[in-house]
Amino acid sequence: MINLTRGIIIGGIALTVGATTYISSTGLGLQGIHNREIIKAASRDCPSGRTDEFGNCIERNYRSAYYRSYYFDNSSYGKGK
Amino acid sequence: MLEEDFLDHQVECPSCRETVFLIYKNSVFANCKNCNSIFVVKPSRPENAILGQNKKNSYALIRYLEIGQKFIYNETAYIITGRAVIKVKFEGTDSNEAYKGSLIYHEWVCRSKDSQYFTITEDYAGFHISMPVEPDPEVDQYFIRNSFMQIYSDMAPKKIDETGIGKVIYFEGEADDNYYPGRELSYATCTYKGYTYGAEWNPYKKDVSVNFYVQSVMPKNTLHKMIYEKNDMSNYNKKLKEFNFLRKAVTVTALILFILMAFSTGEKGKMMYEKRIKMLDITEAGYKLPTFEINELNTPYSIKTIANVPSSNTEMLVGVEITNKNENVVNLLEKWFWTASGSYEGEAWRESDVEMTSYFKFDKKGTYQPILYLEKSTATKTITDGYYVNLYIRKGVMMTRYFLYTLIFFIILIIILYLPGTSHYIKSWYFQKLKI
Repeated sequence: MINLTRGIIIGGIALTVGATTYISSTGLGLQGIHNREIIKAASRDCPSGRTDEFGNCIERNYRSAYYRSYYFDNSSYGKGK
Repeated sequence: MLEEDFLDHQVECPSCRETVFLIYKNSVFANCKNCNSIFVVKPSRPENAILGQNKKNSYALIRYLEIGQKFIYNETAYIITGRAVIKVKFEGTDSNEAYKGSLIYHEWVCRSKDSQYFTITEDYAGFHISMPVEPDPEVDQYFIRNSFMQIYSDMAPKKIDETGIGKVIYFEGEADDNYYPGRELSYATCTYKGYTYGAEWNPYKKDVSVNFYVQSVMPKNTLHKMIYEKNDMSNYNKKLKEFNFLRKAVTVTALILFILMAFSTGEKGKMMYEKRIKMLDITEAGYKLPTFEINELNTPYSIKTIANVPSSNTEMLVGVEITNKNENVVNLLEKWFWTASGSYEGEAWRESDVEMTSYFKFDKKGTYQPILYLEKSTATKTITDGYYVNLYIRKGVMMTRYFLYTLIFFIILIIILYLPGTSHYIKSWYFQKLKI
């Protein structure tokens, strides 16, 4: 019984350390590069069925306009120049 | 000798009719483990038999003391027959050293065959022995008056050092004094001939009865020897060994996690993309960098931007867009970079913040392209040839945060396992689970 208890303790510790190392090296739960808030803002008013596999609107390239309005102005997301 | 003294008597619990086994037949009060009642063994009137009830089945032991243990003290054989857990609020009365507080202590009732008794009080710091004393009949019947206490006729009234009110919150076993949950008691202590003398009474019936006692420190080693000499503690020792193993295992795990955490801070992954861009080349429309391929998803990536800003007192917003194969933005990273300098009391200083790092996982494989933007503040002087931005992308980064979270959890565990106020609860639970 003692050996079983010790086995459970050592096993539990090995599992904890192993799982933490695994999560740390795989980034489980880490934020994805595809920032949903940004994609959503950049794809506002997109016609239905015109989004790509990443969720972006493929009708327009919002990049430069989006950048300027979002970062250097105080206006809201996704508006044009 | 002790075995002969150990008597085994049975009574019926007046509440649940369960048989209760007594150590001494002359016990006046007992606890029924079945229904948790504390009852009078031989009540004058049956309706007054039940005094109270414990709120829970058991209360965690602090150390190794248990009901039924035998020992010799002052050449007399005693048995621990009961345990009361008492919460007390105390207050020091010395104006130079005033203090107040509260604590929970365990009071072990120790009785001999010929009705000698005393109590061992146990708290997280150690043990005390409280021996009953008989006051001289000539002494004033009130004994305690105007913050002074007198027990013997040749004892000048002594100033009371400490007063307090206690409340019994748990009782198990048997006793000849009525301990039951909810019972309140008041006490006062004074110092006389180097010993602590105390008086204890019912706060609602002080005039009826006051019990006096003299208290002395019981060294831990002495009590340990007394108990271990006369009782089989092998089972306890085995369980204690296992509990200590658990504590050590948790400590070692925390140490391993700390080492791994330290290692992970230096583990920055494999460089897969490294570019240097002159700030002069970054236009209003941004600077498109070469694309990079993502073929592995199940690993963290770091995107790090460091600016080289030779002059002082500059401020600029650096933005990095990550676009997908359709040239749509999937993420944006931005930060105000700045440098500042000056002099303070003749000494020049320079400070800067020209670096940003973000960690991500890529959700989808494919081709991605970074685009760099720059917006300088109006205070920033002209950007020259020596200003540039470095962009690094690494894969296989080891994240430190998860080790930190787990380490914090284990540190909390260590505190709980070692803190005197909490460790005995864990120990008691662990002892119950251990089958030896």
